[in-house]
Amino acid sequence: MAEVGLGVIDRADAGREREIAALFDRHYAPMCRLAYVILGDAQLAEEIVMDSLVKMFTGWGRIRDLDNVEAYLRRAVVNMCRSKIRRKVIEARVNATVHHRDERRVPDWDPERHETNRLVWQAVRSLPERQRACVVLRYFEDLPEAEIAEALDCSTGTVKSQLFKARAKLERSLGLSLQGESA
Amino acid sequence: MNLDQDLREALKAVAGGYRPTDQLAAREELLRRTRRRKWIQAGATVAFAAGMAALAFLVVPQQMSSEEVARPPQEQIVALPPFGERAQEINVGEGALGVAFDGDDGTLFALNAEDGSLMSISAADNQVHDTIAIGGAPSNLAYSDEEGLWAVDPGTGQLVGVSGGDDAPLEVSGRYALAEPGDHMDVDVGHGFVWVASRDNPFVRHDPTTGEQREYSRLASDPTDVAVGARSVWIYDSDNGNIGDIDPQTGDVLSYSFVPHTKSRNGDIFVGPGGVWVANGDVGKLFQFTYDGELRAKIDVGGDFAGIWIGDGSVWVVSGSQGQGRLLRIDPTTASLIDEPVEFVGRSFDLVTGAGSVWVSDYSDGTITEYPIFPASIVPADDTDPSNQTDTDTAPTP
Repeated sequence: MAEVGLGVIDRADAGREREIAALFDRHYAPMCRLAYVILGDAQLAEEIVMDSLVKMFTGWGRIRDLDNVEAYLRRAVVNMCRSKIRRKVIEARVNATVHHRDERRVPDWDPERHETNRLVWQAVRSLPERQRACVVLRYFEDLPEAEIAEALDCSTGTVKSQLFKARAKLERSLGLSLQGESA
Repeated sequence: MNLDQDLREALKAVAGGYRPTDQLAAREELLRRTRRRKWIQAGATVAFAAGMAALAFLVVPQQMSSEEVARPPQEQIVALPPFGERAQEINVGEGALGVAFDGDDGTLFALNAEDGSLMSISAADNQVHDTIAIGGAPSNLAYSDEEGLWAVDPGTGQLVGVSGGDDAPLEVSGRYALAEPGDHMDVDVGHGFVWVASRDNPFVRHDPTTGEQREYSRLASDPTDVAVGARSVWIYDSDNGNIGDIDPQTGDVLSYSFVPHTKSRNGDIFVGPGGVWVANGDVGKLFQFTYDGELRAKIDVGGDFAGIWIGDGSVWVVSGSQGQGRLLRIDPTTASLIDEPVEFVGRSFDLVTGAGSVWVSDYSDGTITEYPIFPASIVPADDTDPSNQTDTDTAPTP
């Protein structure tokens, strides 16, 4: 629930805030879901999306193409997720000997009905951060390779190779025979 | 099994299990953080400008005389005067309570609960033009062009119709007993009817043309406050926190349900831009709901809440306690404060907008205070400010 503090805005800023609020309403939840699927941590996902939004709106004047806000935001969120994963891997190594940390929440679902989903997601979470991001953008966001490359700031060839490697790892870990995408 | 299909299903299932924990709070957090950063940037800009000005002062000392200093044209005044700076008080006697405004005539109406009077005041000169006796202790007023001026008098439990205003003398046109003396009463007008809520009594729709009344016994509890919206009439029960709305033509109850957070013996309801606004005076908060009853925002307005009004594109709230009042202006779209809250000494119970001002009653000192609303881009020139005098004002007559 919104607890509105006693911060003061003037009327000229009210229009800008309405614009920010409208863009927030449009993009916040989808971006949180994307970050959640990559990270598996709701709180962390929301923090990252919030930081990305703050960064975007405080650098508002630098965004040249206002129609491309979604792509800009997605790129910021995915990059911050990747950065967070890298940091968490290091943190986990350091903390493993100090104390046990429950770093990720188990999604709320019926394990019998969704056993396959659970296994698949576990396998996805075990992928290196770049491969994981490629897989999520490809299979969750349904982005073409060119847009994945844009989001990850790499070439389409890199995306292809990362997806190939990721799929091979998933096949192995899931014990499945390689079945190419129908497309 | 197909890996691609499994991946899509699994990732969508994971995403489906996620729900934003508190999206409204997150939105407010975003607005707050972007606002704060902007202030920092603005502060840096001001510091830079001040530094450059100081440097210029040192490099070019006193080269221009005061006559040569360019004055900004009147239209380029950009500073917004602090809201409330030009407030004016109108003395209406002890016990000022309900206020209403006739925009066509520019007439303000004010009730005095101590002596049971009603006054008409011209917004042009802020002079009291007429005063009549209403009765016991009238508390609330409502006015519209179509339905006219109506007051409720908890002192006698009556709904009182009043004709006149502007240059015509005020006159009581009808009295209707609707409640036991002493009960809290509220009134609003719209959709061709007068709507009266009173504690421990049925909610009433009064036809000002025929005098016919309809009671709403189907409302299980007893609504204590009423607000007329564009499509329906909204009621609020401060005893149990229920809100609901009624089809004004058929009289059908469209909705009636408990809404969390709003139960308060000191509350109010208003409908307008941004949805349904309900105040809880016990906790000093204003709640914004959608028309479907979904909570959108919670705004801290201070304890001992007094009144809400929506006008000039803003939600206006007066609150206060222990002789200290405050007037707040809220943007209904972002639920953010606009301007600094105006602090005043007194005890306010009602407010209304009209003729480009907010009019706030003060029970304790018997005044109506006018707070002019300045549009941000059009700040009237102050004739008493010498910097706004044009050259032609001082030029010798040919």
